[in-house]
Amino acid sequence: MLVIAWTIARGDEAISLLKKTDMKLIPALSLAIVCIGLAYCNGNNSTTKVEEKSTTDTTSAEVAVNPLRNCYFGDLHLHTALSADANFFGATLLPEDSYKFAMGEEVEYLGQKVKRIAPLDFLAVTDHSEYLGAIVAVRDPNGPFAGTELYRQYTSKDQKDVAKSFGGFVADMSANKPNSELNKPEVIKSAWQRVINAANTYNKPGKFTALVGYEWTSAPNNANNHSQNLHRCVIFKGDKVPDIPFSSFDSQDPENLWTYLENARKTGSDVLAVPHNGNVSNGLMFDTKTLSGKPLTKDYAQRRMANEPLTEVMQGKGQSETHPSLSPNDEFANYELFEILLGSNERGNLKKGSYIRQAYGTGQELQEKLGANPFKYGVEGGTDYHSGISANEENNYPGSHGTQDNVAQNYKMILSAGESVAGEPPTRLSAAGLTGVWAESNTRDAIFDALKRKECFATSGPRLKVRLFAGWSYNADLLKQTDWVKQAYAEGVPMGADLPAGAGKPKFLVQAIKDPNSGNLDRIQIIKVTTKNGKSTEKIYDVVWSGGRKPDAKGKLPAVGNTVDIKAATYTNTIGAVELIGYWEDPDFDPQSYVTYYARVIEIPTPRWSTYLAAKHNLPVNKTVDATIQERAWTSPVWYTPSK
Amino acid sequence: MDKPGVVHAFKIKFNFSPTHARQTASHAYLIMIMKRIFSEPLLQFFILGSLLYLLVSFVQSKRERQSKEIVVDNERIGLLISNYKNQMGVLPTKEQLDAMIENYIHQEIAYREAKKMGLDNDDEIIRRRLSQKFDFLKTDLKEIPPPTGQQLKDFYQNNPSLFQTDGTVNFSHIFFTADNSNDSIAKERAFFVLQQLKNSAVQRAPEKGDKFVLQYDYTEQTPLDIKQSFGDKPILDSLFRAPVHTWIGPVQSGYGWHLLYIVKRANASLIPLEANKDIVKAKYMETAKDEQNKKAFGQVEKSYIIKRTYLDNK
Repeated sequence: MLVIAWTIARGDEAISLLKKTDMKLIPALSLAIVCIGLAYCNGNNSTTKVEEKSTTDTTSAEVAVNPLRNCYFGDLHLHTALSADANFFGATLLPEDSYKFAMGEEVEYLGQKVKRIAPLDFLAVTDHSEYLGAIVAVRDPNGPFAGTELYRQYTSKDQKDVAKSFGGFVADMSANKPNSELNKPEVIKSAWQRVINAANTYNKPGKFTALVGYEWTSAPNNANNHSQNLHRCVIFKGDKVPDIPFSSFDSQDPENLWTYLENARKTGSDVLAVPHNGNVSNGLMFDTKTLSGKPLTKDYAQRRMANEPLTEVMQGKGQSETHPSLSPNDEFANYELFEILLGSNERGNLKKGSYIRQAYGTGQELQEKLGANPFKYGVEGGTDYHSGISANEENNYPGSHGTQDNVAQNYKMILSAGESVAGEPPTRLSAAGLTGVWAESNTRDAIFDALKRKECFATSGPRLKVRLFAGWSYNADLLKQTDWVKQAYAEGVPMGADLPAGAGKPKFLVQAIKDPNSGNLDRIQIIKVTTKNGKSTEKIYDVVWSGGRKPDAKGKLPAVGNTVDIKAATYTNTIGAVELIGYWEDPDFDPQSYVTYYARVIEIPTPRWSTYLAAKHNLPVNKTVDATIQERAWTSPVWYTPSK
Repeated sequence: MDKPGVVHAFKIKFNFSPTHARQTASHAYLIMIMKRIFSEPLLQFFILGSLLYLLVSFVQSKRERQSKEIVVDNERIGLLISNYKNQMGVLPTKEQLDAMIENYIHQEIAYREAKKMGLDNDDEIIRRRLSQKFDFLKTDLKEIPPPTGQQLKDFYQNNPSLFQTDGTVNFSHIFFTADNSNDSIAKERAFFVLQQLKNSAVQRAPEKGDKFVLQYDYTEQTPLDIKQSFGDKPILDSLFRAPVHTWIGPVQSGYGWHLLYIVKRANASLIPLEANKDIVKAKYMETAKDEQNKKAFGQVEKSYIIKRTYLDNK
């Protein structure tokens, strides 16, 4: 939700910028480029006509089932031209195109033929419900707005009209008051039906899962008029969904979204919400009071967890696991940071409430007091791209926000951009992320159930597989047996679950398998957040690693090395491992403490997308971002609760 | 443009005859003069011309009056309502209909004025739109008769490319990892095992290599499946090109080195007709429509002479 937030804060400046004739390419997600996007969009042949398609059968009996669960990869966060902001950026692709692209087909994006190297197994298109489909409809010469002043204004190339359209959009979003002319329920319903139909058409049980979803885009302003990101993607299990999506115009308070979800669940398909970008929430995402300022209660905590079991820990706008200032002892914390509040030059409050690792502790502190943990989140990864395509492979990244970061065209600007007028420059956007799920089959039911029980993980983009099991009776020899997964399930719990009461020390089994199209693996770590008497601590354990490296006297494992040739943007898999598998028991376990355990898998260093881009054009790499990155995966945690 | 001309013609007429009349002394003289004047070919021509001009401008102004008339009849209202219903699925309210009528009037006026100003000339969007409209008008004119069983069969046989599925491969493999050693050692170990297997009857021997994290035996894998599970690496090419029923390798995947035994390969097969009659029929209809449309356009195209002068330069 880039532009909406961006415009909230920068509305006036945006308009004054527009009025300037001297519009040089600002090295930022700048309005000048948005305007080009508008011109580009004019007269596009999108149409809001909806074809009724019969619902695809989601419970096909022929689909093979693996009780030990397969790993499937997908994106639960993607915008198309039906999102107002994506449309302003010049996106023309629609949900049908998104599904085709995810399945491995070639589509045309900004005049370039693009195709994934490895396709995805599932996708949810999640367009913003605010003004859903309205900009497509308003620009449709045969649409419901044909002949109206709005049609003229939105299709005009005159800078004054462009400024008026955009400025109006800015004002509406900033005030969270919709323009009733643009916010027509019949238009939104029609677009929503299109979203549902597209998902039904491309859902192929056993081969590809298309989930119905959308994004609720709440970003209340703080006193300084900066947006605080509280966005949630809403993902349905089936297609029996309400006839209109709940929007932030209806309410900005997540508690009201939960009411909508609870009602939807009663009358139709099961549904969950996934909050994302705690990193730009200004501390609001994992706040210790409600949005309306009340203290959290047990009921609030239980409702929150019932409605939103997952949070998006990695996506195009950075990671929300932790920040170097919060985890100074974590050598891998400084990774794909996105720190500026959307649509501003302001760094948000990072001290509390923005990152999930810290929230695991806060949640346990609240659990001590309330008897329920409001932040018992599993994790997933998405793209949040506003291009219509989940194109997040580092060496195959065409940009993600339409004409704002058209990599094919504006590579010079992108490579030199250091600072921004408003928000982070496009260079900082990540070619990330993905969700991995452990499910019995690739069907809506199986994938949704896996998400709901949090047996899923996030990656920074690679199809890197990771398993985590916890129990009381595992031993190291178990991993030598071919059916170790079966035994692990039988004797313990997978990621996302509660560790039942037991004696001794909790024991863990972890396995990571590299993405065959990406770098080898450096190590698997287990990250432990412990809470006792209102005080939380975090600790990181290296569990298994590649090569014959030995930890030093302080227990620090030497770095894996770096084979990246930055100038050529190449690396070799001569370091690291294809597979890492290990057994670990918690040496510092205190049965009286609340504990959250999760695993993190780190790849060897590989070139970042911006480095591939620089090599391709023989230009210097961008100095404001890392030239090489260690891609990674984060598992959903396993939780231990002391018996009182 | 026309109006000043008309006024001018009137002026000439009034200025001319009274002046001469005042200068005339007698009636007879006047007649004589008149006769003389009217027998003057130039004047005859002039008068005739003036009359013609008057007639033309009368017809023109009538036409103009008509072109300034916008009729909103029941038919138009019906069209507005049905368009709205098609888009929205519901009927418009009274207010919405009134707004649509006002919009229609506004649009019609703007359209006519724009045309008068010649704004439609050399406008790419209008050219495109009109040609699209024409194409649309000319297409799907005739209903295509559903194919007979034989037509369907012929169509299926003559258009294999439309009914091809991805090629698939069934294989077993032996894996050699570089983990805990290095790439060249892994490859060498693979070569060593290959020599042992080359002339043997063995078709499956995963135990001769390292433990593999995924499966040892695969069935019906498409190229996309391989890209997902083994990476976009040389193994992809080998699996779809190398000879079957023999050990080949070592080939590289995203994990390490492999020896492959290809059990079966189905090279881009056709979907069976019997089980897929609906799909074949849909393709048949689509193709028949395309052909019909092309033919119809071809007829129109024949009446045009197309000069490709850009080819002359070469």
